[in-house]
Amino acid sequence: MAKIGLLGCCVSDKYGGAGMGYVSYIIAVEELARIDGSQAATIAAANSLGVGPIYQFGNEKQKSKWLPKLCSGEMLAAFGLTEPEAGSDAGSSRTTAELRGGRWVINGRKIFITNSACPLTGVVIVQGVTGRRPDGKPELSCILVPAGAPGFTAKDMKGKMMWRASNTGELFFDDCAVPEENLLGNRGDGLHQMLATLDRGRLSIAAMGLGGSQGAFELALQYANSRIQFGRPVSSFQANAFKLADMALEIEAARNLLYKACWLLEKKRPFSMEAAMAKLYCSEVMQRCVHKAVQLHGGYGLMKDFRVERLYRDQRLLEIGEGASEILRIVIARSIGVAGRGM
Amino acid sequence: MALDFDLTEEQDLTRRAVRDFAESEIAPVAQRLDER
Repeated sequence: MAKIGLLGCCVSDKYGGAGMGYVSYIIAVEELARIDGSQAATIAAANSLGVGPIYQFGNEKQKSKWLPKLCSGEMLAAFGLTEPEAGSDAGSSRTTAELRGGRWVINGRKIFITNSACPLTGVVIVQGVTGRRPDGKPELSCILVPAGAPGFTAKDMKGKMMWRASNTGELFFDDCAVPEENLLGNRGDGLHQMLATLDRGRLSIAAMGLGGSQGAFELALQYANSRIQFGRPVSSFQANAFKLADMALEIEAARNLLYKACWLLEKKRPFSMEAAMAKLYCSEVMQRCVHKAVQLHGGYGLMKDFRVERLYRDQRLLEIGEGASEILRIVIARSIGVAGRGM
Repeated sequence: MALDFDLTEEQDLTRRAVRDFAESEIAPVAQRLDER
């Protein structure tokens, strides 16, 4: 996938990237997800969560050190945010990083981190509490932790329902020490870096929902047109034709919403609300599409020999990861001026 | 005139290249990798 530029889609060729625009990157993820969620997830996480923060917030030395190896596929980077006790409530992060004698000493755990525990994982961007802000809230910062750093262990998480060919890790930091210069950007920028990374990352998860919907629709249409029952193709029954029409309708709406959000990003305009809308809508459209697609396949849709079975499972994460649907509705509600904070 | 739904040449080429790659390289092995 590195050979066709998929591991550094939006990175300048100065660092070995493909230098493509954001819409092109999103189209690439969409096309991968049309065929397979696991490979799409690996690419989406590598670009949006691994390469992205280093390219956007790293200093020249960090960019020169990591980006060429990441873009060439020599290694993968991961972004460690979620913790066992801090999921949707990301601000309750318990992982700490203390500056001691010119080194960050990190303690804590991260969980459900894509691309973080495979042989190719070269570096993990870890968000931790580095102090208290004047307002009493935790000061968050991101630190680059190379694979093999003392006190850092990563465990491959097995037994997933979906994305079974993508790597998900649980990370343990036990007095893990890295040089002070591994700080990403400025101390205290962690919250801003996280929010900006998630805004962009949501567009790639939306692309997975869109591509998966397209894949499920094509499989369902092909199957329903060729499957004969009662002497005619099952697609010719209105109950089934309407399912296919609804899938096509929602996919068209989802694609327009997602590309519009990416267009705003490319134009350097605010896009947080549209990114939340696109991620929420595309993931829920895929939920409805895979449900209908399995229904149209009948019993065969429950069998692993039929691709639609995998699409059905791979969809489920999309309503949970990188902002659960409930959190995205809160983001949208705040953006449209709903009174009060709601939570 | 500003509203334009055409993909740029880069966007169109990206779609075609990644679609070809996904269909020829990923589709044949995806099921096996999922079952590991």
